[in-house]
Formats: sequence, C-alpha cells, structure tokens
Amino acid sequence: MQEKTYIGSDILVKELLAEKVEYIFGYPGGAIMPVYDALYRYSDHIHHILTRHEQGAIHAAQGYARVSGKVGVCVSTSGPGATNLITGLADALIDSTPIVCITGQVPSNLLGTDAFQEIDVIDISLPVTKWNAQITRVCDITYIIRKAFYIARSGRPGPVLIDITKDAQLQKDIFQKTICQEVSNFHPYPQVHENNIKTAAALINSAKKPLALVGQGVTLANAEEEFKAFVEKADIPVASTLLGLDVMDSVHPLFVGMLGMHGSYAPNILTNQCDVLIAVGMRFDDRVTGDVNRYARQAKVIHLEIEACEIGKNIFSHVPVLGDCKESLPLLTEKIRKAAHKGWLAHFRIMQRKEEKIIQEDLNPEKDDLTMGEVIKWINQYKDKDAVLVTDVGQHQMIASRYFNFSSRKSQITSGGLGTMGFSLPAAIGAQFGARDRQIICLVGDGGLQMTLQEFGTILQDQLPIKIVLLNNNILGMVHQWQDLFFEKRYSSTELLNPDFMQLAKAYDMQGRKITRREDLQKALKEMFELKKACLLEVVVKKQYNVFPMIPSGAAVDEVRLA
Amino acid sequence: MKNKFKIVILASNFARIIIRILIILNRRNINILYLNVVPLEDSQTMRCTLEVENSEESMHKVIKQIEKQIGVISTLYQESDKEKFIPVIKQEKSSMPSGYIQN
Ligand SMILES: Cc1ncc(C[n+]2csc(CCOP(=O)(O)OP(=O)(O)O)c2C)c(N)n1
Repeated sequence: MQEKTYIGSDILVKELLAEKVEYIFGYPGGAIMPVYDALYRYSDHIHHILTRHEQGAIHAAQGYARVSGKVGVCVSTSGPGATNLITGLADALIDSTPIVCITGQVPSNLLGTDAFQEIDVIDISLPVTKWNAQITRVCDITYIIRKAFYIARSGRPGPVLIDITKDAQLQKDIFQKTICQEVSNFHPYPQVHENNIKTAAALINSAKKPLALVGQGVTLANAEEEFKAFVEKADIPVASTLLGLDVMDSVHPLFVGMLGMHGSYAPNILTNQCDVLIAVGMRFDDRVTGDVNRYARQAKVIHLEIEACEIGKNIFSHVPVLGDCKESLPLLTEKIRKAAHKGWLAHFRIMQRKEEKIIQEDLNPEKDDLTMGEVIKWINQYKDKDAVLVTDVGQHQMIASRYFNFSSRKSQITSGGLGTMGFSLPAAIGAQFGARDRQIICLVGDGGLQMTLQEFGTILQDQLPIKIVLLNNNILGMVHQWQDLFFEKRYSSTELLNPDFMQLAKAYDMQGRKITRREDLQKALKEMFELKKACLLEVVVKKQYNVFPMIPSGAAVDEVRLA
Repeated sequence: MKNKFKIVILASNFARIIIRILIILNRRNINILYLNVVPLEDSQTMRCTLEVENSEESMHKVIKQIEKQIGVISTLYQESDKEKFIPVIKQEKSSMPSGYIQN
C-alpha cells in the first residue's frame, strides 16, 4: 500500500502540531501563502493570531514564551515580512527566549535573482539567531523543524529562524514520524562537576558576608524553588537583575532589591563589600556591573551558569559551576551548612534607609503632580496575586521594577538586554495567550506605546482583556533624564505632542480612562482590574522627574547616586 | 598586547558555519590574516584554519564563542610562534536526557 502524501505546508503544520504548538502569531503574504492555506485546513487544532505588524507577531511570540515556558512560534512572509522580525530576534537572543520563526521565501529557482520580495534573510539574521536554516526541499521539512524546536528550547534558550521556499511548501512527500533524538555536536546541558560544587560549598561555608545575585537563568531552568532552598539554608541576601525580579517574592526577607544602573542603593554598594559573590543564571551585563575594573574586587566569585562562554566573559570567576542550575543548586544546597547572617543582613536594611527619601518622594509625593511610583503602589494594592507585569522601556520600566510586587512565578516580562521600546504591547498580547487566566498588565510610556500602537487592532480582534496602564509624561522620559543630568538640559527632540489617547481607545472599542488628579487614581485602578475587557488607563504623570538611585554609565557600583 | 594566533576548527561541512565564525571575529574587529577551509574525506566535516591578530585574553573568550556555535565539533588554538596547541574542550555530553523534550 502506498503511504499517504502531503504537500510541504501541510507537513510543516503537522510538524508544529507534533511539537504541541497551540498558538502561532503571524502575518501572511505571497511567499508564505501555502502555509496559511494549511493553517486554514488545520484551524481546529492551531489558533493563528493575526497581529498588525510582523514585529508585533514576534514580540507576541516572545511574550507567550516568557510566560508559558514553551516555544513561541511566529510566521511571516519573505522580504519585508522577514526583515520586520529582526528586532524581535535580537531581543529574543539577548534575553534567551525560545522562539521559532518561520519565514516564506521565493521559489528556490529564483533565489539570488532579486525576485519580488526576495531577501537573504538567513544571512541577515545570522548574528541575531541561535541557529537558522533554509529549507528548499520538502523532504527536509520534518528534520529541520524538529531540530529548530530542539535547539530553541534546549540549554540556554534562544531564537531560531527557518526560511522555507515556496516550492518546498508545495512539493509532496510522506509524513515521517521519526523523532529528533539529538543534534550532533550540540551539548546544551553540560555536566556538573562534583569538584566545583565542593569548592563552591566550602567557600560559601566560610563566608561572613555572602551575596547572591539571581538572574533569569533560574526562571528558565524552572529552579525557583531550588534557588530559594539554597539561599534560605545559608541565609544569604539576594539581589536580582532586571529579568530575575520574579524569581523570589519581592517581600521575601532575604530579598534586598534590584542590581545595577537603577537598582537599589544597598545591593549596589554592598556588592563592593561582600566577601563571596554567588551569581546564579545571570551574565554580569554592563548595566549591572558598571565599571568592571572596580566591581567586587574584594570578593571571591562563584558563577553558576549553563553556558561556558558566559563564565569569565565580563567578571572573573574563582569557582565556575558550569551546568543547569536546576541540577547544580540542589547539589550545592546539600553541601552547604545551615548558617545565619543577621548582622550582614541588617547592614542592607540600614543602607536601605539612605534611599528612604527617594522612596517617599516616589510613592507618597506631597506635590500635586502624580508620580509613576504611586501608580505602581496602587497597582500592587488592587492587582491579582499572580498578575503578570509586562513593561516597556524607559523610566516607567525602572520605577515598576523597583516598586512592583512580584509575587508569583513568571510574573515579569520586559525587554532587558536589548531595551526594545514598543515591546510591551505585543508581548502582553502573547502573554495573554500563554496564560489565559492570568491578569496581564501592560505598563507603557507614551513614547513606547506609539511604537507598536497598531497592535490595539489585535486586542480588538481577539477580545483580549489586557489592562494597559499608560504613564504619560509627554516626553521620552529616560532620554530626557540623561539630557537633564549629562547634557546640560539640552532637551533635543524628546518632547512629544501626543494624540488624544482616549479617542484611540474608543476607536478600538477599549474602555478608556484618563486620570490627571490623585483623588481619582485609586478608584480608576480598582475599576480597571474588575473589568473583564481591555482597558486603557492613561495617567498623566509629572513631566520632569528623574529616576534615582542611578549609577552613571562607566561609574563603579558603589558610586551609585541618590540625586 | 596583540599577538598572532592560529586557530583550527573542525565543524560540520556547512558554509554558514564559516560565516558565523567570521561574524564573531568581525564583531570584535579582530584582524584576520589567513583563512583556509578544506572538506575532510567523509565530506560531512571540514577543517577551517585561521590566523588572527588578537590579545591572549580576548582570544580565550572568542574561542568560547566559536565553540558555542551549533555544528562546531572542536577547536584548537595556539600563538603562531609556539609549538603546542591549546585544546578547547567542547561542553561535555549532557547528563540530562538529550532526547525529544516536549513543550
Ligand atoms: C526602539 C528604541 N528606540 C530608542 C530607544 C532609546 N530610548 C530608551 S528609553 C527612551 C524613552 C522612552 O520614553 P517613554 O516610552 O515615553 O517612557 P518613559 O521613559 O517616559 O517612561 C528612549 C527613546 C529604545 N530603547 N528603543
């Protein structure tokens, strides 16, 4: 009996189903039309979400991946459809987000002929993908798609792009059921060495002033519990990177705040006073370290990391512990002694008081103008416990990171390494699909919102109950702050003449509300969270307002400024 | 201080791996003095030999980035006037199940 044959695009979609893909974010076009035709046939099994721009589609796939831990999938056509994905690929690469992008391509006989909408997306995307490949024959689809998913999710996750020519989408073949066992010469999970664990444990046991730094690696490894058990046993204060904020409950007694440029005062200062620094799943980004030559020189550094090239890249590591921290943390916890570091922890609390004045000004301002901080304060009051905060990039992002109450796993989504303005709205859309029952709060500035504003259309079409909180200061706040502090107040092109956002909300059938006075804020937030449909809450906040503490770029962590 | 280094890379025989390697070097403005690529007998693998100008410290980091590329099998490097190659051991085989992990 002859086996049943399928066209390439059907095989592709069946492959996605085999990978248990439920949602695809994308935008159609000529070179990907056979795939869209297959998606039509399989629409009972896979839900395609039509965004309003390919950048929206890829950020949505990222938001989906970040909240669900699964691989996000996005589809676009060749040429401009493919180039519109580049920002998202770069963002996903630096923030280790597992996504698979499928782009259509002109028929293989036209490759290299400057055909209509032909672009060499493989070469363009080389530096911004973990792996990429082009499929020109139907018989390669199964293997390459499986390899793509395997690579995207394994080890340190990342984006994979698969370009598939139109003829390969239309050729016929049988559907192969063999599975991708492994990819040759790719070893995503390095072995944890017992010896390094021993050395690290001995160092931690001898420490008087240990400090743990936690990053997104712990979230990606699903090792939040293992991390907590580790720091609780040895009573180690924990500071986090921007993307590690949701690893521990923000009110956990061992949590001492965020690191880096706009992090808290105490952990930044005390980084340069601790005796043992234990970094887990973080990569010592320059926004965290400031001047590397004056970073934690007094400390012995233990670095738990899954990727060899991150160890010693920016900061020398005395005890590297290569491996998945889901595996290495319990081994380490077993070997360390129970300890108490009361005096050292108290030191953090004392230091924190220096920041009190800033905190009061942010959260309980006396002047009339509303501040971003007080909005976050009231969001904390009325949000669901497991709400997900999706922030854009700028001052509001830093203020939210400082004050938002992260109280559940995978509750923070933001563009960290790339700092992509416009990320939050589409990422919130993806996050809502990844966590249908969770409250998704999109916190965005007036600049960032207008970068991907078109995705209001996606929210409308899919009836998503996203809560958009727009902190409108009518300027590009973060750049304005730098101009204020480092460019002698020459405010070059940072003023925005904004549209009437309420009319925009109305146009997209969103519940809109604009707040300009403090007395209306609480009620508006409360009502917004009670509503089961999309809302845009615009809060007009103080225009000129600088975020502190701040480590000026190039300065050392203990030169953090309070004003 | 910059020295000359010779790098030998064994990789799957796939043209874009070479581009990925060159991107790593170019991104750091590392001067490439020599490049030679030959397929090996089995035609599945190739050997890529390069000579570059770089500092010792940067060299070490760059090699780790090259090692990370999917398809690179092993890498050796040495200072051009030295005899002995420094072998770089690719991340060892997994202790986790490396099979088909579902979402
Ligand atoms: C795509 C992109 N372009 C430019 C920047 C540089 N940038 C960083 S923050 C910022 C201002 C953001 O302004 P807004 O969205 O209004 O937020 P605010 O800082 O006022 O909270 C800019 C322009 C960026 N991060 N991303």
